[in-house]
Amino acid sequence: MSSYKVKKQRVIKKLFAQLAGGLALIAFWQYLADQLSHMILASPSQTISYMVELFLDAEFWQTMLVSLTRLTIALSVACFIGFSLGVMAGRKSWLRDFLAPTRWLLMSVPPVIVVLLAMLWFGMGSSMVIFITVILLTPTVYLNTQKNIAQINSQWLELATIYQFSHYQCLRNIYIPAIAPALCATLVMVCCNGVRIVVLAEVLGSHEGIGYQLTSASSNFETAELYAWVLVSLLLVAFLELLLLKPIQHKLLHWQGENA
Amino acid sequence: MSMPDENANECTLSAVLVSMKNISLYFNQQVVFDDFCFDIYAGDKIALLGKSGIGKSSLMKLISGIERQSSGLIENRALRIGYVFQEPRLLPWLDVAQNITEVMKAQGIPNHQRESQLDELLNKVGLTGYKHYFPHQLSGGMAQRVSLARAFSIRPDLLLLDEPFSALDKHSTDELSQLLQQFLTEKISMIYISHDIEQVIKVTSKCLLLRPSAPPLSCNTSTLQERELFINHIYPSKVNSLCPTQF
Repeated sequence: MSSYKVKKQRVIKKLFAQLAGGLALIAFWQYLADQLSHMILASPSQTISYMVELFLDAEFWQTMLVSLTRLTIALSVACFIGFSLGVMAGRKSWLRDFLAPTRWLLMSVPPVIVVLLAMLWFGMGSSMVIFITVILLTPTVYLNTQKNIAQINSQWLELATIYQFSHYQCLRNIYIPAIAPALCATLVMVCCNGVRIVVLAEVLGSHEGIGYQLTSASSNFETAELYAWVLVSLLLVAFLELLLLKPIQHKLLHWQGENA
Repeated sequence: MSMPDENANECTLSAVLVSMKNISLYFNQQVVFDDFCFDIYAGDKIALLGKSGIGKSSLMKLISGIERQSSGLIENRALRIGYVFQEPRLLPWLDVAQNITEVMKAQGIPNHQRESQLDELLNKVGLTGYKHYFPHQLSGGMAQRVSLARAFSIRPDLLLLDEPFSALDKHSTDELSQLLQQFLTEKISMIYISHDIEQVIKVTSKCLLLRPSAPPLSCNTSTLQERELFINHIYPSKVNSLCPTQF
């Protein structure tokens, strides 16, 4: 059998398994909705029909824009700070030691405390949401980058020294590709957590965004609307993974071929 | 450890490319070099010999700047150093062309020159059709050809070869040795580490034998007597079989 056919079969099997898993979840949801009151759990059909209504509403897209803007800014800042410091600390042990207490503090403090302090410092709104997200995501990016940079094969760095690679060449041709698998995993983790944190922060202290819509639906006992927004936030994660992370992953790991 | 300058008369004619003065190197309180002096002149082709663990690779690393000496002074006037290791050391995520052009880029070779030079090099090493192959798609011999092409792509003043063919079979070794001879010019200085004396003598004009607890022994391989004495130090049992017919 040709490798193309084998690959095609593997893709079909994968898609079939994922579809079956998704359908099983929906079936379980339907079963629970039948058992429970619709005030507690809306059925999949109610939720989806409300979601279609949402998609046709201009306000929905404004809400999405607000949350997406916050998420984009927070993710960009967290990734930039975490990655830059991680690369430097991975190479310089004094910086690693210097940043160790801050890293420990940020990773140990309960998120609710960060939320309370952020509300106190920034009040309600975008600044608070972005601040919380950055504070909670940066240490993850930093730690994963730093650990993986420190473990880069020294032979490659020797090569860079011999042939006098510039800092940019080292970053582009050695550091980033060498830690790419770990970096991709970190980006997935950070993106998913980013959506969660942004929504959580919006629930607790914002007048707009997906989180605010969730609070509003919940307090009005609009169960179908509530679940529609939950589904929207899940779809947001899926889209981020599909439209942002997959291309990055492909770009960074394409050299591995089918093993990527 | 210091080296007697036996070839001083010959060497003063050309410029010193690398000068190592009173070099000491310690690893975990173990002495690798102590008060080591050594000069490499422009155009020198030196075979660096000695038992495993004597410090041959460390000497290469000191010259290339990968390793720092514990004390002493190294004056390196070589602007471009090419290095071929035992293993190809190609960056696995870059294809053959990128592995070579990135090194050229680092050495400031302009873009238009890089492309033409790359094609010329790949043609020379017989890998024209493999430009966009990744290292894992190449055989060991092919990867080492790329490594050799990469080292020569920058037109090095100094070429360091650290047992470059030891992981290859006899056929590939012979092919690559021929390739090396094609690339070498009079201007290029070279230090070549290998346990294969026959292979080394084809391309070098001087030998330096590093010895434990004794000063290094140098030898001009163009003289038969010196060569006999020299080989006797390394392979006492092989002197009769190797000399003089095989050289």
